[in-house]
Amino acid sequence: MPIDDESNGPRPLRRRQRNSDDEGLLDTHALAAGFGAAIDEASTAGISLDELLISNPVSTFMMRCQGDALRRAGLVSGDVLIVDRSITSQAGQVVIAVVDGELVVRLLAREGGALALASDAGIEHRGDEGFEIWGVVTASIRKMPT
Amino acid sequence: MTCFALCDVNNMYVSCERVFQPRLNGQPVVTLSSNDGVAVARSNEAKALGVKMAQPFFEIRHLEREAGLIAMSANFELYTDMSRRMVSIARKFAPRCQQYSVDEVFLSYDGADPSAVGPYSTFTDLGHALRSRMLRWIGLPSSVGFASTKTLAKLANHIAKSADRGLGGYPRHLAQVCDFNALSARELEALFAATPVNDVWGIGRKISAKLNEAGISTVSDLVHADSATLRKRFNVVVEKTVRELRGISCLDIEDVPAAKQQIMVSRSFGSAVPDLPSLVSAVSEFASRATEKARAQGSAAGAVTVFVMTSPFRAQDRQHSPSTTLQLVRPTNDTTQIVTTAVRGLREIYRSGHRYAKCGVMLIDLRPQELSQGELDLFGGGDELEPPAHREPARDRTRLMTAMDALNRRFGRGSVTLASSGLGTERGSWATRQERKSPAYTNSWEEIPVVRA
Repeated sequence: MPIDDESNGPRPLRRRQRNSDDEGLLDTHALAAGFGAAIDEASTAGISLDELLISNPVSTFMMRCQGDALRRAGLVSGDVLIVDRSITSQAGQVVIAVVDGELVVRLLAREGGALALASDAGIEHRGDEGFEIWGVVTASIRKMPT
Repeated sequence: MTCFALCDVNNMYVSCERVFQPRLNGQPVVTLSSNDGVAVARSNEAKALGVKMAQPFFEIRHLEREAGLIAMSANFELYTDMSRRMVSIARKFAPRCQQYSVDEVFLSYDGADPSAVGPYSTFTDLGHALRSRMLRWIGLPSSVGFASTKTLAKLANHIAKSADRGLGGYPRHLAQVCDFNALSARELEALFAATPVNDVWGIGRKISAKLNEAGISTVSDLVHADSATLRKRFNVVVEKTVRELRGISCLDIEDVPAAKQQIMVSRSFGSAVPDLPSLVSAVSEFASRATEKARAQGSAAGAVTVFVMTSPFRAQDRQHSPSTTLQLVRPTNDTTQIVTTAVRGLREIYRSGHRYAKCGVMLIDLRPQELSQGELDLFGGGDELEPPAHREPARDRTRLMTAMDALNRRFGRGSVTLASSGLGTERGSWATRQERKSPAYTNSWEEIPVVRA
């Protein structure tokens, strides 16, 4: 994931970096392909998943969901979660929380006047049981069998 | 008037680990580098246990048992990624911004009005906003110092950090963010009088010992010392530092040009087809020239790529254009290490019987050389807090290399090898020891954090 200063709006696709500094001219990406292979520089831009899924790259991290306690919220074990720390969390969101020093994914719910962490089984941790919100899950990516 | 700020992540390496392993919060943690041999970062709790910067691991190992010390291998992929994020955030808070090291960014402002960059009535407000965004967006705690010169901004940052930890007897309201420009002359003088001279950027241990002998023990003593005497007894570095402490800016924000991301040196051979010994000497030469360039821009390389290629224009030749990338044990800009590694890579990819037409060396994974400062310090005896303009270039052992090559030519290859590089002939013995390394949380799909649902 490229980190870009501009956190909003579409970003131009970065051109492959050429180092013309020295005697030789080298496409760094050709390294992986071996030096005989010519690589077409003018690849088409197409559409970008980053653009669709990541609004603030600086504060966005990827995580992997393990376990099926949030199926009703739409998460399946193995899903890649996109987590944005810059978003203010509110009830109804799927969040990454710190519980007992461990990162977990839960549904942020409101119970009475306070926020609580819930799974499909119901409320698990209330606000006074000391949890912390790490970030807000903004998307989940699942690969299908092919 | 120009205003400078220094934003510095507290205990960067340990703080990065804590973002992804919150159980490390509140625990004494160190990160180890150099084959897990040396502590290069310490949490405040580890500092409280008496762990020193660059202390050998074997000396503190007993603390694992006795005090619950947690020692981790340095995870430079992670720190570099977090560092990039940190700079991106800082850029939004100033018109100009210069990354000074993996965990430090200098910012500069043209006037005394912070409202030009955002809804802030004072620089202290701006500093707190920057600090809280850094904590919120990427989970890293930082300190911010503001002043009229870079040296003073660095000192203000030091005071912000110390006050936050309750050290140095500094006023609590200066914790986390400290703006010298907002203090009265009297308050500033009190801070200077409470701060030992070796806390000043550019005043290393040796110089501060000499200053102490001359009766100069605090920043206040240094600021009021006679310039002519200082110039006579000490070097130009000290003089420049004192001018900066008096508020005369000598180090501009753009002093250090933007570093290149990779450095390449390569050459085509024309009609002459080189044999292995000529390729070895070409690669050695290219590697040492690339290293010189790295030193010139203040970078250290994390890895070296070597390639050879046959000519695609000679269709009758069997084509063979391999390349290899070797990780360095630690980021370095030492000629000896980089040349040795490049030649090693060449030997791996070279196949006899091919008409190679070109070869080259590329230094990649470049990072500011401060990143390995603790270690350089350990081996080079340099001063930890030397400003970029004053820093001596890393040791260049090119002449040693040349002499070695000459001996090897005369007495046969391998007659003389480098004891310091610790090389065996097997690739395995070159592999970095990092037994306690955390995953590449932000750099590898296989290693992203796993969260329980």
